[in-house]
Amino acid sequence: MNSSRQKQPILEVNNLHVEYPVNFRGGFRRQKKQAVNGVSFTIFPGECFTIVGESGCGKSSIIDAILGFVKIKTGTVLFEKQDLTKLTPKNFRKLRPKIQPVFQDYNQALNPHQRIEDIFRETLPKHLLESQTDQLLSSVGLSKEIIRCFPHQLSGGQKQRVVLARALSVNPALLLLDEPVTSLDMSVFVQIVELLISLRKTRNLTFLLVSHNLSIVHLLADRVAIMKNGQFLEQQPLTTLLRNPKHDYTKNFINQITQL
Amino acid sequence: MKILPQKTQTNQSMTSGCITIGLVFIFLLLGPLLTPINHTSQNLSASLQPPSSSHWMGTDYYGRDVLARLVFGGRITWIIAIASTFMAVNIGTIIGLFSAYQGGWIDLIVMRLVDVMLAFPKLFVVLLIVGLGASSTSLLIWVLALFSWMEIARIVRSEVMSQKNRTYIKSVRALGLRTPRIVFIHILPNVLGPVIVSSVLLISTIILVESSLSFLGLGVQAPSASWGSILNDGRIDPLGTWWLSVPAGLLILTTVIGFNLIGNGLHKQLDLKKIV
Repeated sequence: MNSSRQKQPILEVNNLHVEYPVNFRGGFRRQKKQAVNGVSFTIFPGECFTIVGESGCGKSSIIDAILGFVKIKTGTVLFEKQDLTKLTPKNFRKLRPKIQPVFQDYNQALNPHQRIEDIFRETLPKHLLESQTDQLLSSVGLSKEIIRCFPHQLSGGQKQRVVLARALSVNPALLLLDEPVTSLDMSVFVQIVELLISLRKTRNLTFLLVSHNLSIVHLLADRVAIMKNGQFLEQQPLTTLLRNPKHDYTKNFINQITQL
Repeated sequence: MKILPQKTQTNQSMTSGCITIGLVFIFLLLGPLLTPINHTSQNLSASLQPPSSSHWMGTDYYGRDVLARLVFGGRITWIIAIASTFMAVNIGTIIGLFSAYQGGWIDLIVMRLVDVMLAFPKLFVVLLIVGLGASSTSLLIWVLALFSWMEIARIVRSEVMSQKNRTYIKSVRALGLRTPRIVFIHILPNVLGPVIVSSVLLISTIILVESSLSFLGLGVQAPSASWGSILNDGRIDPLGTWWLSVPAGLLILTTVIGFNLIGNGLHKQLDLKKIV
């Protein structure tokens, strides 16, 4: 960690504000809901920075803002020193492969009309398609016999592994893990977490993990930010946070989860 | 490695629809083998002959062979219906895709335009335009298409709206794919199911509209024929000249029911796939 802190940050989010229009009627935006309210954080290469908070606190909105899926009201998102909020759509599209998301809902993360091989055909060069597909699938613990399958023919764990393999196929530097194991059963949960730990080591990946599940946070996180109502209450290294939470909300949150 | 088997289920609606339409199609395709007589050949001395060995389905006022006219008229009716549907589906799909993917004000304006067009009674407007213009088959195809795309656009738009924010679209956007690829390779195949069902149902609607227009004398013009115009020939004495109106009416009915059954079957089939 200390060595990673001396490196240049891979992602730097400053004073991020995201809001959504609500009550959209007849084309007139009457109200706006503040989803993220002045969030700032920095992630260093090889690190796993985790945002923890209850559902609806704005965690996923941060991921959507980094990916450019929602409009940022104010603030900057610097990825490898480039401000993503100032990039043209064309330049942002070129940069996109370096930041890959893995979403919670693996059932909807794959195009239901595409075979697994077609998914990789979109990202891999034609002459390397077969060899790299096999390599990617084996790196996430899948055999090549699934390449002719459609997503509905795979189990939940297999789908999430394919999602990971697809993300890896474009050689990302940063993985945005949005509750990646929440809807998986316990045995698959463990397998996917082990896979993430191993991928992080072997591919030197950086993670931004979003979760309300402290089990995965405990296994993966280096630093943790506690989020409530669109704001960070505190940011600390995991061990410090668990031993010495500063905020009452964090104490309650940790207590509730340990009781479960 | 567990791979779930894909379910296969029989679909009675689809099967019966395909058989019905298949039979009508064979009739239209092989009809000339049944009667060598040209559908426009007149023989006034054999006017209004009931079915006989020389004219299997009798003759009309001008002594023209009704069977030959049913075959030729059916082909015209089918061509108009399929061509209009094809055009309407293309127009509706492109407008629906564009409107939903752009969103915001563009979507709002396009959809209000659709609402305005849907507010007009289709048959009345088509009747007016065809009545004012010089009636021709190509004009009929265009007018029918231009007043039938709205339902398709609405369906496509609602499907795209639901698809474009799904996780798999977010994922492929994150991969850096270009917008046309996302729209045509990822979104379009996932909205085609309801479009196909609506298209099949639209064919039967257009057959009915075209037959109505031809029945009123505004559709296909003489000496050409369509099922609607043949039906009109038997209008003066429907009981005395039943061979003019009954076969044409039955063919319209059978075709419409057939396409509706296929549409219904496709609907079930596509729902089944979603469950699997």
